[in-house]
Amino acid sequence: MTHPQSFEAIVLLEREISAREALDPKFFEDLKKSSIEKATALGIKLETLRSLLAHE
Amino acid sequence: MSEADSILSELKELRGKIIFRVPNGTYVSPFADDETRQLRLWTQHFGLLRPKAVYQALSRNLGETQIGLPVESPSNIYLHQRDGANQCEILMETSVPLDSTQYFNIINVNVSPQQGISTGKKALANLLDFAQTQAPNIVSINLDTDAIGGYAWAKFGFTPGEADWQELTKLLGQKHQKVAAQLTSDENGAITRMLACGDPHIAWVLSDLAKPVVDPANSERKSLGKYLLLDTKWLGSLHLNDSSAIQRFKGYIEKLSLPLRPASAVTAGVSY
Repeated sequence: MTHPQSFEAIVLLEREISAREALDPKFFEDLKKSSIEKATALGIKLETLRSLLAHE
Repeated sequence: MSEADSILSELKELRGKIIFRVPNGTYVSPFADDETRQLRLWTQHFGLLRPKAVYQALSRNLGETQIGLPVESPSNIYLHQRDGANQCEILMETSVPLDSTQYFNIINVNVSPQQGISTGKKALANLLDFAQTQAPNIVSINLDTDAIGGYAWAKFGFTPGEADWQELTKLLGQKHQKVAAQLTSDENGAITRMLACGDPHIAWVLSDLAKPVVDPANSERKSLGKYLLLDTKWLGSLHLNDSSAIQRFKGYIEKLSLPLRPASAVTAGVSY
């Protein structure tokens, strides 16, 4: 069980991560390209990955 | 002047900033005049690295900083940093001395709960820079994700060890099943395939999955990556020779060290 104070930190850090990605979409796009490379190497279809990586 | 003399001279200059931690946890130097003991403790931790260079590297961009070397547990280093009103304490365990070790084990990151957001991340950025520039034999920085949760550490480029990855994928498989009805069959097949693969780097891919799902535990809408990894616990390693890992770490940690939100925002670690 996570310490409540730690859980609060987790949630806030997660919000910071989202803010970072929203402020610099190119940075996040680059990371997603790297993720796509790793996952397609497993034989996963690109279309499926894009769907999973997309916000909506 | 010999290397030992130079180290002692610098330790003297840094008195109050590089300190020796006594068993009851207070930061005092009970043997300020025992130079032989100071030198032995310093070299146990940092080899022949110069105290000023180490101190400058670890306190960069921060305010008042103390490096504490526990007297009774010479493999642990406390890095206590106070940046204005913000406080951060990082407990590190290393193979000693640091100039010939292979890793940092960060046992805990404890940031003052009511204070700002960037102190801990600045301290971690300093640690990476220190390892890369002054302790080139260090190949990884390891930490237990219990402190901040597995989602953030995967985002930041940490990967689980192989044993932890096997355990983690079992848990993630169970969590996946609870939201499988919200995904297409192709998407479910992709997740299953990722979890079956033995490569811990897939944790990064999972953390990037932005498709929203509703968490059955609390009906909150969140990204699939957050749903799967938030609040997971594993021993993670940041491999310093992995450029992709360093790109992630620097991309998130260094940029997040800049204020994205007012300094009154809260970031906290666990207490110990």
